[in-house]
Amino acid sequence: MPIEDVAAVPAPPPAAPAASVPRWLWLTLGALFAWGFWSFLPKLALQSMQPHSVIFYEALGNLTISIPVLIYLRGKLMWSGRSVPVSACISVMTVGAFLLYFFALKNGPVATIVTLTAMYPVVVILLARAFLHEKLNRLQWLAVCMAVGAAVLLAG
Amino acid sequence: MVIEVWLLPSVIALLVWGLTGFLSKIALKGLPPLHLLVYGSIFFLISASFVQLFYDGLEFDQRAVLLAIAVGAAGTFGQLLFLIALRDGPLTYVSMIASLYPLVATLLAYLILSEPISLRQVLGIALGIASIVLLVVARDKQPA
Repeated sequence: MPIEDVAAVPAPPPAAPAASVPRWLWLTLGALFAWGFWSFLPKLALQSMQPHSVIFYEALGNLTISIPVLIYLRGKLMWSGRSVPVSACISVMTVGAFLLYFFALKNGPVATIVTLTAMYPVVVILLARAFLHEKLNRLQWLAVCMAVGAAVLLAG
Repeated sequence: MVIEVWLLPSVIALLVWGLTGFLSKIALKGLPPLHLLVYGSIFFLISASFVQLFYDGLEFDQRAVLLAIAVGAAGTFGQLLFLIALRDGPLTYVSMIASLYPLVATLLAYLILSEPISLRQVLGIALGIASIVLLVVARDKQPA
């Protein structure tokens, strides 16, 4: 689950023309497969451990990437009096959501549950509309309607 | 109508992840993504440790432990690749391609677990993924 909302990441500089497959595409495909495994592998781990144990070891797995990132940042983390507490809240809620997600995975079909929970950006834009007063264009409204339709089909 | 036992937890997880995605927008106003990624991992570990207080004990099964560690590594590695891809590539295409990850999970479930998929589920998955892709494409358009 990406914790960063892509809309908040600054727009990249124009990509240099490339004759072959551009580097960003390889990286994106890497992210696609990494998240595919991230969403599927818990089903296998849950065959022999309970969700609360899986989530603890998952937290250790996060560190295998974030510690090298911290080293890359030369051990210096920026501080923000607002963002850091918000990050803490996000993590607490994420852990709670993971427990529910793992419970669902343990008892239900992977494809349906992964697709259903992957539609969370719809909730993000509805919250952004409600609290940040961001407007939705027609395509976004169409996407919301499609997501609701998908949820009804998957729930059936 | 029989409501499956996995449905309510999935919907609540969907709503909570939606809320965390919204909160991430706020957090990113004060911290760069890589710093937020590290903070997120630290707080995730603290929260996951706190959860253990409510259970009898931490289980240990070597295969499952390795799989669970792989889950965490894959999730965070995916974030890292995604952020680097965003630095070089167009936001819309990077987000759109990465958001197709349920297809990989569906394929893995079919190949490894031989999970059966009904026509209704196929339609739901296709419509769900189409809605995610449309959402990403629509983000760059002007509001109506």
